Amino acid sequence: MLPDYPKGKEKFKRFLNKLTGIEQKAYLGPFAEIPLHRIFEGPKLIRHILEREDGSKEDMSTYEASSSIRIDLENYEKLSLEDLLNKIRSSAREIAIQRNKMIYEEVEKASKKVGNVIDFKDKPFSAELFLKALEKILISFDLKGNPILPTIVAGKKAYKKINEVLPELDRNPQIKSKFEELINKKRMEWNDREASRKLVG
Amino acid sequence: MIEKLLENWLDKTTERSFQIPFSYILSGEGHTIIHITRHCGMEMGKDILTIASDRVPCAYQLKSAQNGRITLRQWRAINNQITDLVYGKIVHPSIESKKHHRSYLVTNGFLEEEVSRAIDDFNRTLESQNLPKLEVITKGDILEKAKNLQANLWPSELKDAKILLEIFLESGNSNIPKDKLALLFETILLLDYDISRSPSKAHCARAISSCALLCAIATSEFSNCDNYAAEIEAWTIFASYVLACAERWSLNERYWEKEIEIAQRIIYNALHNLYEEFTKRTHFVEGDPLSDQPFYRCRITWMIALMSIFALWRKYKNESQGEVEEGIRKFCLEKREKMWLWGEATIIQFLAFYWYYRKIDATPSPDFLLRDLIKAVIESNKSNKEGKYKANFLASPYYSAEEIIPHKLGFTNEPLEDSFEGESYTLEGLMHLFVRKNWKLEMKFLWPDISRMKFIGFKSEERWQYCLWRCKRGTYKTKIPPLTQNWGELKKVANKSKGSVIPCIFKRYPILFLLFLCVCPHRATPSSLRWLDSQLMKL
Repeated sequence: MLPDYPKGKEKFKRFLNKLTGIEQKAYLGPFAEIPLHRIFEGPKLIRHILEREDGSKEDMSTYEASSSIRIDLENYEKLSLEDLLNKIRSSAREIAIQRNKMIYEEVEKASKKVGNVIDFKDKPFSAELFLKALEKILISFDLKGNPILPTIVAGKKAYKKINEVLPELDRNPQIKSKFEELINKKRMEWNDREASRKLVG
Repeated sequence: MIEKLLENWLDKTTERSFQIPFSYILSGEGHTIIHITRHCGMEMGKDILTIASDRVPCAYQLKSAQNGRITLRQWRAINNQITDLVYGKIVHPSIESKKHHRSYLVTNGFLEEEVSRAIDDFNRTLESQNLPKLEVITKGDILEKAKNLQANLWPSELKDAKILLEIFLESGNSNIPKDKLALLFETILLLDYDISRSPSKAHCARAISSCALLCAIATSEFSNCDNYAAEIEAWTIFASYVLACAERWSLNERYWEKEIEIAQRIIYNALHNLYEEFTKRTHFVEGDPLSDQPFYRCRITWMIALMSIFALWRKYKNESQGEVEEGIRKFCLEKREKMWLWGEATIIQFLAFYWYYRKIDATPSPDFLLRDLIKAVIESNKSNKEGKYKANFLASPYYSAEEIIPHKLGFTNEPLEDSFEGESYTLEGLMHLFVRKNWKLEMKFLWPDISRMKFIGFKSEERWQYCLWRCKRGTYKTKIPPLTQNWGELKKVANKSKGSVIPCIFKRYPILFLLFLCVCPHRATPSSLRWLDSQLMKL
């Protein structure tokens, strides 16, 4: 073998892994907040089962998000450090795009299954429709009783519209009242759920 | 513990990695080693050739035993080699004896019963032909011989045994842990002894043989991985420590010369093997290509240095110039643009190339390499008035590539608690070499910037300590050059080449000394560089 520097290369690999993570987060956007869990067994998982509090079970799908990096060993000398890092960044972006797609697919599948879908048909987005959507989802509350409202993921056009509409929750007294009523209802649901966490018998 | 280590080593070892310690065992028994095979394409049936103390030539064929035993199947497979071993006449310039040689089959395992029977039958045939019979040396015999080599001189204290184990268990594809190896040698070669109770010469001789065996065993994993660069470094350190021991205790050469010869042979073979390897490769990436990029040019620089040294050595030995020389020349000249000055530790690697370059190029280009090195050192380390951190600093020669490159390229969070600003260990030496070439005008332009730098150096308290990886006592010197320097006086200093810091014993081996400086670049002082330059110019 030719002289090698495995300890130094190990440090560099850790750096590359860190860079991959940072780059992916940048492309995942709001989905970057979704916690990651490493599974140590495998590599081939046979099943991944989710069992909910109501006893229902679901087989979780596993997806692969991967990207390959091609390095021409014969022309390795032409590969600069910047070229290598750009390859890593492209690869991270590719993985992030795949992950985004998978997340959207899973959300769509799960939403349709439980009926958490609202078809606005041709109606323009409005505060009332927003409240209708909030009605369908689980809202958690912090220790002070403040709602932890969801992150809205939207395309460019929808984002613009949502930004115009959302201030009405505060400005429009009628909408505001309906919003507060909804939040109170959700708070009560939340409190009931939390209160049911007990050991009986 | 040591016996367990010996056994464990023998169980794991390959032919290539156990031939070195076995050579030292033979040397310890009074053999003169004539040849050690490189295990290249030409298999001649004789791995080691020696002349025994009774002047009879001996030939050894080494075979590693699969699953601890030489089976009948394996015996049949090596039959041709055994025939070559026994019947093939030894043709070597060092062997004049008309006596037929003694033949030995050496294995790190045992023989199956059927194999013992087959050998008995074979020996009966040899007896009928009046030829010496085939002797067999098995694992048990090797262990016994190793113990007889005063292995009780090996580390018995827990601390030293721990270091030995750490080296032994190190991954074979990594860099040799020079600091640990040096610490081990220091103990065995009695270099930490109090001078008021100096050891006997015989004791020193046994310690040297014992140390050689230990070095071979400790580095066997590197040999198993064909890590030639690691082998070169390990045996260079061994040689420097033996010479330190010889210098310190004023040992006559009969106590250490054979061991140095074997070490040199091992290093030379490793250089040759490295040459053979790179000629077969279509690329020079090692390991995972994704993480290799930061270290790629580092490797090219080290390889150019090693191949330059190999070429100089061949010249020194008057070996025939031909395909090998052409291969080295082509490699070095094609790849020299890829050399990388990542730290002052590489200055000596550039200088190894410079001394080779001088032999193959009569134009001023080699001299301008010196000039460019001087400029690079100044540019990288000159005082930074703005106070901003400079990423292109040249770290002192005490830092290795793996320590410095993460900082240079910014892929480590650990801070570097050292500053190299405004100083250099190698600038003065480089300057002297350039001045020797009489480039007065060039030096006039360089001097103002040179005068802004500080020359740093360390001098050991005693001359023998120069050979050590680290010294416990010495003088650390910072020299500020004069603002105005007289050219004549500078030339006078630059032309001195007594090499007063170098132990006289080491001066017998200029190529080994160059390797030593590459392995211990912090020892490349101006005095040693000037001396080496004078020696290599004579080649």
